[in-house]
Amino acid sequence: VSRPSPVTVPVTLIRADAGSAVGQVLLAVDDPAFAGHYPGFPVLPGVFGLEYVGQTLQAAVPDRPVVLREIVSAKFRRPIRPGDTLTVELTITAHSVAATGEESDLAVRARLSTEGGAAADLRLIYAPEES
Amino acid sequence: MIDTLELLTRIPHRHPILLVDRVLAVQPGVSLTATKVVSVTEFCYRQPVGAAPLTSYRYPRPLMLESLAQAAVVLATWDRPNPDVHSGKLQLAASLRGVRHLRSVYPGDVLEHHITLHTMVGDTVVIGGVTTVGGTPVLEVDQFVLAMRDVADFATA
Repeated sequence: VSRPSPVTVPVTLIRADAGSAVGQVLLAVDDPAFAGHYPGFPVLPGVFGLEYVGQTLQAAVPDRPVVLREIVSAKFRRPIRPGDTLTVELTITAHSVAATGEESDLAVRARLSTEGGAAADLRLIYAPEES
Repeated sequence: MIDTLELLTRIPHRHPILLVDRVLAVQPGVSLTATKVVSVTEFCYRQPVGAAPLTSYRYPRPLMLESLAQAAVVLATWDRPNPDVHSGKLQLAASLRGVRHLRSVYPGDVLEHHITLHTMVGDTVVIGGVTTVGGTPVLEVDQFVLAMRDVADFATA
């Protein structure tokens, strides 16, 4: 599966088990994500952290294509800058779809951090990829 | 109508992360409608030579949300526009609550962001929004909190 992405360097999966996963990426200075955001003061757009969460999750469940359905909540604690090493820690649990009661979704708690400390906390729901 | 050239005088975002094309309507302090055309020429669809071909052209959801967020920034800073983060404040996403992706978006779709300002207290602005394509909602955001900070705060942080 090869999907369009707003970032150039993909996350590397450090470890994964049934209920958790950790990914890491060194944010490239020349990533187009930084070029226009902002000129002279590059900061990762807060919502781009979602991309790294999605990549880490997908790497942890490679046989189960997923797509972001919902951001229950997200808190962005500090700016993420080029040159930072971003660590993505996920806790993954089954989540039932309100309409059907089927436990086909995944509830994900994500904690993003850099060398400088906690960068963002997110609670997310991922759905099976549309077929 | 606010075109791209005028948008550049209002927000600091630049190519390839300027993700709003036009502002169609604005009621300062209340609401704003803006559009963005999704195109296959965007940088998210680039593939290095020799890379596996893309198996989906669904527009990345973080980009759709960033586009809505930029429309929100245009409204939040309408009375004090800031095209340069060095001379003014930096707009940062502080938090999000209740973001629902209802449908996928593909090249050729025109996103229409309908932004509503909920509250503005000092440098904190709370916004809600719905994005539609051809009148059908594709994205709903209950609460997006924007914080404006001086760049100097981060140089020393």
